[in-house]
Amino acid sequence: MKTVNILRDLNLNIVDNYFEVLTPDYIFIPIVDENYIIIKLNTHILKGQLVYDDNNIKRYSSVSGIALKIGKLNNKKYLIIKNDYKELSISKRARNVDNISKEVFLKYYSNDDIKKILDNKIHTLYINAIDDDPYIYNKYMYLKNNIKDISDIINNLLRLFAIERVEFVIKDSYRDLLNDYKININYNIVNDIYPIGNDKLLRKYLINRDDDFLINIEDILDMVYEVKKNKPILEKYVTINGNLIDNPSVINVKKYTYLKEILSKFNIKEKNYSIILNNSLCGKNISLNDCIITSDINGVIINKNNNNVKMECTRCGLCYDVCPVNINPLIKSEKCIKCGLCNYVCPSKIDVVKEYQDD
Amino acid sequence: MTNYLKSKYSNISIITKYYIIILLLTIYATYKNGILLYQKELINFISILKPAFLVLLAIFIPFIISYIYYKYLKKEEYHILNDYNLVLFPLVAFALPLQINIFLYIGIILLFSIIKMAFKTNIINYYALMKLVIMFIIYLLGKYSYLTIYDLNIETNYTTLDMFLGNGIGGIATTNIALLIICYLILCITKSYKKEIPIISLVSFFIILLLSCLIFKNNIILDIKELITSEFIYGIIFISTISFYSPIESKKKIIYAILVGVLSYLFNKIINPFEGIFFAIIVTNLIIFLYEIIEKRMKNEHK
Repeated sequence: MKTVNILRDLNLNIVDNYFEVLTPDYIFIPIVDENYIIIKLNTHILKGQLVYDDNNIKRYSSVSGIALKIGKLNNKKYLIIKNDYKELSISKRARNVDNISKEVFLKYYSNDDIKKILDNKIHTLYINAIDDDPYIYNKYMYLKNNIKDISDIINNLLRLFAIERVEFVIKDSYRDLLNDYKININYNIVNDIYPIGNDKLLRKYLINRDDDFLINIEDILDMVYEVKKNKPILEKYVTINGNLIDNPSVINVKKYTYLKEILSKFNIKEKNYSIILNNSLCGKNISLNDCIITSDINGVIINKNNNNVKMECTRCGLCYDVCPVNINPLIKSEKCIKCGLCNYVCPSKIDVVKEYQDD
Repeated sequence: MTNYLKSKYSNISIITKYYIIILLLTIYATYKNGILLYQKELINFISILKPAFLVLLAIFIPFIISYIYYKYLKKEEYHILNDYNLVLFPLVAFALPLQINIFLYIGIILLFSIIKMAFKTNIINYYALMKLVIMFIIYLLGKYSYLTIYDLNIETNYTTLDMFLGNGIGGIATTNIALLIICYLILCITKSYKKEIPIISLVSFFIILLLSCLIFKNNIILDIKELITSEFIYGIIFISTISFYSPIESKKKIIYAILVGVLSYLFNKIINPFEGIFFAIIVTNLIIFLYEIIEKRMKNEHK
């Protein structure tokens, strides 16, 4: 696989700092159609209470408080809830998973794609625990902070399903973490190269048997919440990093928190900065006032606008040489996985993805 | 302006390597076509500097044109360190005969500097074309010759080793194959240099040469001496690999390199071994361009 060791190239360090930001003043729950809001405005909402349900999307309040109003932010509608800081929640007991049956496990777990995988006789179940960006360390922190829960779920998977072997796929720099896991799992250590954490590429790289499967550590975490803890996921790991951040950290935040509120906890070295979401090589640029933490936000990168001058393309072909899916990045292709490696290597400093691959 | 993570590798580091090569070749050209001739009392002291002067002109003229173009026409900032023209024009200058008329030289460089700014296309290698245009005009003027005053005054033939070490007939700084190999190795440490093109071209050239010797029962040693000139080596190392005009995809790169090798053999044989490679590069550019059009059409039909 054609990859680049960005950590080594740019001398970047692992983000090992972790803290929680769990007391937002307000949360902003995204809504598509007001008719599917299933609570009344100006009433008290419990933490974990279902507030929006359009059959496809279910959204739960991540705090307890008053449902204030429906507001707009960058032309998107949000249900705004004012936090009362009391964390009053719908009480549901955690399940004892030590002797849970296969049927019960499948009943409470909702992801049909993973259920289909578990239906098979599995030789090796690979668990992707590699973060898919050189600046983001959420999966690393999941592994570090959820040892007991992840161990319980893995033990149950081995006990309940026809799985011969479970292998955690981790980067070389995560190796020490697994010393704490006291269960019968193996791990597959890959080099710190980008974009090895991409599910599609990792699958291609690892899987050479029909009965081998790859799932994500986040799927295991869903199992932890849905099967063991018996509650919706109301919090989210987000890495705040970038060349203007003094103390890069993985933070645990309440879903639907306003990004501006989170960034007030960080010291940003310069006033003139850009905010990039999820991918430090080609992610979407956003404005500070537009962003709410939802499940699809993994990283917020605060970078200064660097002085690289964008020159015309010299057709050197470096972007083609590094492309992990073997396409010519200068021609629009549906196969592009938007990893941004072409952006990274371009000696003319062209944002190749933006100019050639984006719609 | 961009804010994404970017590697430290930039055009400046690529262009710097070209400048190092230009310096090496200029020193060699000054020694071979200046100091040596002066020591033999074939030229006066000022003429020692002629090779360096030609190189400086090949940097200065495109610089002026680029500066005017960016500063006054496009109203953008001009980045001299990122300007490939300033290293690619001298590379053509090295392949020209020393006796070139200075006004013709200035005129053509000026013309091509303007053409390059006006018609930005990757279809035809402008630098190979420029060399051919210059040589064609020289031919029309009846002054076609790569011989220096020294070459005109010796009576013995050059040996193969002579040619390898630079005592051959050719352009201002293209005669020393050993030096060209050193330059190739310097370029090979540049990530973006298309290093496989010269190797594949050379191999395909040899294969065609061997085959034709077998078929037509030619003397292989004579053919090698006659057809593998330092001009050909120079062309495949520097001109055929200019990134703007050579393909990006591996498959097309291989086709391009093979065609350059095969066509160089044909043109070296049909036209002459000094310009053959430049003809080959231009014809290959056109073939690859046609290939890309057909490929695009087939893809569209397939869709």
